[in-house]
Amino acid sequence: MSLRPSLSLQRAAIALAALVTAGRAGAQSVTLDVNQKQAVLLAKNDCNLTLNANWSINAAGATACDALTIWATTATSCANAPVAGDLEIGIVPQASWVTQATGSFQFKVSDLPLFTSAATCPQDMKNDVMRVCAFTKYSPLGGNCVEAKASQPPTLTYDTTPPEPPVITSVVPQDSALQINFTAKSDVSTVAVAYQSAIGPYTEGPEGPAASGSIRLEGLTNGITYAVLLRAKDAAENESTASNVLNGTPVLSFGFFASYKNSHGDTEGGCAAAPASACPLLALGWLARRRRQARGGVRG
Amino acid sequence: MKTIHVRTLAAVSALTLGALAATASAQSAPGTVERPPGEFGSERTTGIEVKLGGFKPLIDNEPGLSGTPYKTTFGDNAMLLLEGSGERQLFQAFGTAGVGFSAGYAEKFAPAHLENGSQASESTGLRLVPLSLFGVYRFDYAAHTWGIPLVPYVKAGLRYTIWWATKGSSLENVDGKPAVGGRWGWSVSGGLSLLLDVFEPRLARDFDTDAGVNHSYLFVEANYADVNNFYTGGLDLSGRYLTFGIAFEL
Repeated sequence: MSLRPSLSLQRAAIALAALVTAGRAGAQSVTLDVNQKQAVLLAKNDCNLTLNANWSINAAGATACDALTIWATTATSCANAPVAGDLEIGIVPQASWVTQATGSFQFKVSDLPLFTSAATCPQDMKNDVMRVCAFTKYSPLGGNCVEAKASQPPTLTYDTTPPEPPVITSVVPQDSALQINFTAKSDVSTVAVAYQSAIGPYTEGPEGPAASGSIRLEGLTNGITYAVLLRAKDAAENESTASNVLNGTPVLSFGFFASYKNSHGDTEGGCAAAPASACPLLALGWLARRRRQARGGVRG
Repeated sequence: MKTIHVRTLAAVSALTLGALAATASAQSAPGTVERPPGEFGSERTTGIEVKLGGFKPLIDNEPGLSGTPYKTTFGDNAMLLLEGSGERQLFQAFGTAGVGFSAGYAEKFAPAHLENGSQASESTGLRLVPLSLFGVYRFDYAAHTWGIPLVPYVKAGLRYTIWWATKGSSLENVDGKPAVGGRWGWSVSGGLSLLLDVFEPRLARDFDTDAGVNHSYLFVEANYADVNNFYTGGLDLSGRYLTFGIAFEL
């Protein structure tokens, strides 16, 4: 009579321990990355690239119930094992992954499941996504075996399709410079300028972020007409064909201080006109402004 | 004649600063100074203020100029000047006297001009950073003793204004020299502060107890600054202007 409550308590405690164990087991997952990234972008010329799939799991004191398998798949989610067509990247034996806890496997881009003997790398593809998956089973504290997967499978995106070329909407003449205004599709990350004068071939100019919508081409000669064009690049560095070509002629302009000097103003510019402390102050302020501008547009 | 007049004013400014410095050395430390009868609250030692105003530099007044470069470039519009200052109070009996330092920033932008006078696609800008070391006297005896919430004050000091001009996104260069420099001068100011404590005395006391702010003011200030390297010619960054602001005594 008096033992029954004790036995019930004992069973309850065991059940609670099992629940806690299961809870802990459920929280365990394999941490995966590819080349220390969760998202890798692959371009057409990356076929010979070798990537590292890095894994880690903290299951100290647990007992492995299965080997740890890591693979790449074109499926939209990770299953419990690779299927036909997937690339098996590596297997860590059941006897060793718990103690090893971390490791790495190498694989080639050309072996990824996007490519087959009939369609070898490179192929013209646009944003084809693959995932790197991991799966194993283990028993924490000697309980039932539970599953462990990658909580956040890394993605491999293969993109070899160049973006559409940008469209130059206007070229604004400035003093020894041209401001090129353009529109570009949303998949374009940067634009690159090329320009030529009537007396020379096209010269590669600066690159700048596509989101800014304009780019400034500096170091030109006033009065000379330049033809300018743009090329777009996407995140995978695929380059578009050339945009439309527009002409622009840089023109001399006068700022406030030029107007002042033209009016025979007596003050000379330069740090000689400022105290020693003022110039470093100005230089710092100017540098900060340039850095802010550099985020919005790159100079030539 | 005018030169003699303004030089006298400059000398007065310097003397004011010197007199205040002498007062500072003669006075005992804040907290032991005599305070106006009727003034309550914690010890006050410091004043801070922030003010805004339209500042139009008298660049076009430079002797020998053949044109009006400021007006031609920026029109008749003033620059927006933001200034902040801090002062150390050295005397608190029949009014309050102290010395302080202020720094400000003003900028103005407009389109640059082409050779034919038409507007260019690039902008040009003028930026000023006026720095000032000044002495100040506030007649706050009536406010603290008789509850009249108006405090007239005067300031006088030395001023140094750093300036630079831009065209497009770069520092403007003319004949290979960057458009940057600094100009010395002096300034006097007179103002009237409205003591806000009288409107919410309890809130003012709480502000003192909680944050150590003895008194709060709104003020208007008339400024007269001659900043042209003491009348030696060149860029004239003088100005006559009004500012409005808020001030706290701590």
